[in-house]
Amino acid sequence: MISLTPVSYSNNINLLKYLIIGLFIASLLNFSQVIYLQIKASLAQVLLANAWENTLTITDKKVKPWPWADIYPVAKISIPSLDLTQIVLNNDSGQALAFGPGLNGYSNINDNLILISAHRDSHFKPLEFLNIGDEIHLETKVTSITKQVRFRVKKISVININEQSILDNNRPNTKLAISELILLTCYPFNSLSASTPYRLVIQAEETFFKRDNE
Amino acid sequence: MCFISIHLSHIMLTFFNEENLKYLALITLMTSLFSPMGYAEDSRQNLKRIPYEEVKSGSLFFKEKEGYFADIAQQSQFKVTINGLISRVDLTQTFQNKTDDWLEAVYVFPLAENSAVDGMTMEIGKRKIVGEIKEKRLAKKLYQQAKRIGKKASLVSQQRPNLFTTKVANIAPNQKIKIRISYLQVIEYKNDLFSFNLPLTITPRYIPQQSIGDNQLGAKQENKLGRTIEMTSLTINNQHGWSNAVREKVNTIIDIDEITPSQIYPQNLTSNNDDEITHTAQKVSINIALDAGLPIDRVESLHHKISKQFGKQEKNSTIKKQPNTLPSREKVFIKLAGNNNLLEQDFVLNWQLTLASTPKAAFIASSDSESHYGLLMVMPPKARLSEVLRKEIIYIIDTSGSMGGVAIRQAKSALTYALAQLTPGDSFNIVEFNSNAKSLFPHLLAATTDNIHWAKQWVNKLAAGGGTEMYSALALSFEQLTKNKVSTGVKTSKNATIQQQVIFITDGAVGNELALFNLIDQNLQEIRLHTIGIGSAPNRYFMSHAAESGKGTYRYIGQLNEVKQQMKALFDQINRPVMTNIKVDWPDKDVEFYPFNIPDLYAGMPLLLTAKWDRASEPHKTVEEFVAAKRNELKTIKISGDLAKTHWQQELKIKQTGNQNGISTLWAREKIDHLMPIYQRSATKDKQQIRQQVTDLALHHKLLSAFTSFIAIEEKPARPLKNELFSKAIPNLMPKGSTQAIPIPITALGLSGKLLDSFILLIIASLLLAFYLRKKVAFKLNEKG
Repeated sequence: MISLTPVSYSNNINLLKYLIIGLFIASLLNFSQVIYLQIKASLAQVLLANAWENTLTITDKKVKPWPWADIYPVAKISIPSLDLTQIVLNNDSGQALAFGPGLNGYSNINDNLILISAHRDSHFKPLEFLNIGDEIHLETKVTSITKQVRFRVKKISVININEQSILDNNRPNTKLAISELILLTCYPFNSLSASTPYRLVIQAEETFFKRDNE
Repeated sequence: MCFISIHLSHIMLTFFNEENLKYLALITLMTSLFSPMGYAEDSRQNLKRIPYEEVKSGSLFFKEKEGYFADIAQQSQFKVTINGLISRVDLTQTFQNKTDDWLEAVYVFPLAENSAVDGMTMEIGKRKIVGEIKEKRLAKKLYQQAKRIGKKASLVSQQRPNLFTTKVANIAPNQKIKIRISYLQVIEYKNDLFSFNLPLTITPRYIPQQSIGDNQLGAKQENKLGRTIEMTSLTINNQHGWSNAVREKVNTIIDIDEITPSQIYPQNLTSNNDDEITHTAQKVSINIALDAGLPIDRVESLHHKISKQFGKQEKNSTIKKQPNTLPSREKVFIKLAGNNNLLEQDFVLNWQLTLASTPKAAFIASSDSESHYGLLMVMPPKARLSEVLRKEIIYIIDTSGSMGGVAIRQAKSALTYALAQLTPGDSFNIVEFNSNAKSLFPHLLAATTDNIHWAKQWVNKLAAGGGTEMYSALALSFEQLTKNKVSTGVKTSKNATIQQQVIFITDGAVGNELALFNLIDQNLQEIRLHTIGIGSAPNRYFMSHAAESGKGTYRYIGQLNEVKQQMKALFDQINRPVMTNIKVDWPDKDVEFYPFNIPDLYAGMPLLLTAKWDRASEPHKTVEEFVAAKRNELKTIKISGDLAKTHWQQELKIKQTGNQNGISTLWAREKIDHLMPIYQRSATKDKQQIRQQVTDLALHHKLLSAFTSFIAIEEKPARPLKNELFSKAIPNLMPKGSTQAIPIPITALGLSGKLLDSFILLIIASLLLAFYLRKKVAFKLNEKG
């Protein structure tokens, strides 16, 4: 440092100044993106809850949560043991999942299998603490009748989607009399990167009986 | 500067990720404190925490053993007779009811995309009921009636040109019913290689969200067509040009239930009890009698082990001896080795003829009371490799959930091979798609070493998961190529030395084929689209028709070790000039031939036409006179075309005496193939007319089609009406090596990663700031000093 001439030294220190400002801005940008995504996720759920209430009261099946939305709510999922209540959207594209859990296209076809996915670091974050035997309630609307279905978690597994199927359990070959609900989210929960081949698969089966302690 | 710092933080991230988990844990803890979502920590304390961290992929916390209860089993037997260019396949599906109830079996199954189904028989014990061809709606009605009153009945109908359904009603408890389906299939012949395929299972079709029965496609909804709306502006423009009726029909898949059977994994077929049914379910046996017409050099099965036997007649065979016109040649009898072959991977048989006898042309004819029919095959000469100055290539790779498992590895390997074929001067881009489409570069870039290296790394990281929104991927590729053409100038695009190509690597597991064919038709211009079918059970109908619409070629990669050979053949083919302006001069007047528009031919591809001409145009003669005249008369078919600035012409002398059955059926099948796209694109009022035309044609030739079905009903009711009838669907096996039946979305925002980024940047900035302030003070002191 002593060998530096005053001129180059001041140049260097100026450069350092910009570097520091740059780093602060970059840090702020990253942070604000995190805040933005979380606000978006939480705020959308408020609007969606509203839209879902409307869906239940109005005959028209599709209620848009905001005027320019290309999504609409199709169900309400609640997990009492986790104190979690979320509105489920009609599809599970990347755009939709930013606002809430989404119904996988496959579930539309087979009514007996309902498949819902959401982000492990926003809407489905609490699923980390779900246990076998926990109840999941699903409120849906089938031709203007509100339907409440009660599921109980029977299996929790982690799969690598490049090697295993989420349907690797033995599914009977005909339409089930009992509905099955599968919740899907990325795994592990505290991973830093968004891309992972691992998925947490929570399988729940329709149950017709209340638990004794409820 | 921002970029550098972000890069720096990523380097640090990798360090944390891979080497130092303690830091990782520490920082995650810190970031979780910052988490604004705020799931209160204390509210979960009473809950039992499951130790996920100790669990590796695939292990279950709670294992349940539910046996797959096979209440009805299906077995397929294929008996194939190959005679030159035509094969006759007899498929017997045996349905076995293992319950004490009366059952209806529903089975969705694939056949080759060019199969012409012209016969069906129901066998109950020794009784045989020959199926009749009926208009589809009528057949369905008759079937429902029979089913209701307890008659044994079966219905075979077509869902897609390569996807069919068999329904068998009132199978008595513990009874077997056999359904025999008979069809013709033209042998594929290209690059001196003959190929016969039997698709044995289905890759689960993806149904795009907007296709699910929604008739209120409003103005707003239209935007849903391409979820990635900013990229598909080109498509939207084109869609405005479509009539309403067309758009609704094209974008709505009406028959979702019919094309998405349930699928299971083979390992789930085994159950604890050693029941016979679990051993016979979903098994296949294949017997082929191959008579190539000329000496055979080599026969091989691509994916299955086979046993071969050469000779005039198969030992202990029930197959009738075929009349041998050439005494010198031998037949080959092929059988699947072993008895435990599952319906899980397409069967492909390839053979070559001895080099000297490789045919260059063939004409097979047959006649009925009204018309003559002919099948014409001509193999044009191969041109030299063309000197292509520049290529503009977009590779599309399918990374949807259905590609999971071996398929994605095959696709990546094929793409890596293709990238290595780029030469300086080419420009390229890669588009990957699952639930939406993404391109590697924002537009086409020059194929420099750096760019190719970058692309290879990008490809290496691709993983399968999510939906199959093929539409936006194709739209994006067409848009980029069109834009590129505009930016490089219209002048150069007229130069024949520039080729614009799309190479599409996919399993074709979609249900909205029609919308995609239309998109290709409308945006193609000078672009050529080639498809590469991947996996154990690609949608062959999509592959061949997309390539046909795209004026390109198609081929299949069924196993990882085929990648190099198939890709080499592809580039060899598309780097040679194509034969254009193909014209055929027929000796007779009023010849009706299909395909109606003769396509351009790639190197090694034969010209294949089916033709019909009326007998009425001949002068009336006595039979003897007629036969004598025909025997002496050699008619000439002239075929000509342009190949790389040279004119090619070939004359083919033919006799009209040949009489191989089935040519008329193949002709009718081709005509229906020609009419169906017209039907799909025409307005509602014209539709009825074309529907009628297709129905009449199919009924006349006893052909299964989109509008006709085969039905067989037993006279006497069998089921006492007090017994209820249960309907059971036969599941298809998942394609070999596949992992995903369901498209799985990416379910993480990567928030903690971003928070960590932010955190690291903040720490570095703070440290530098401290350093900066100290230095500044020192500097000032220095100045003062």
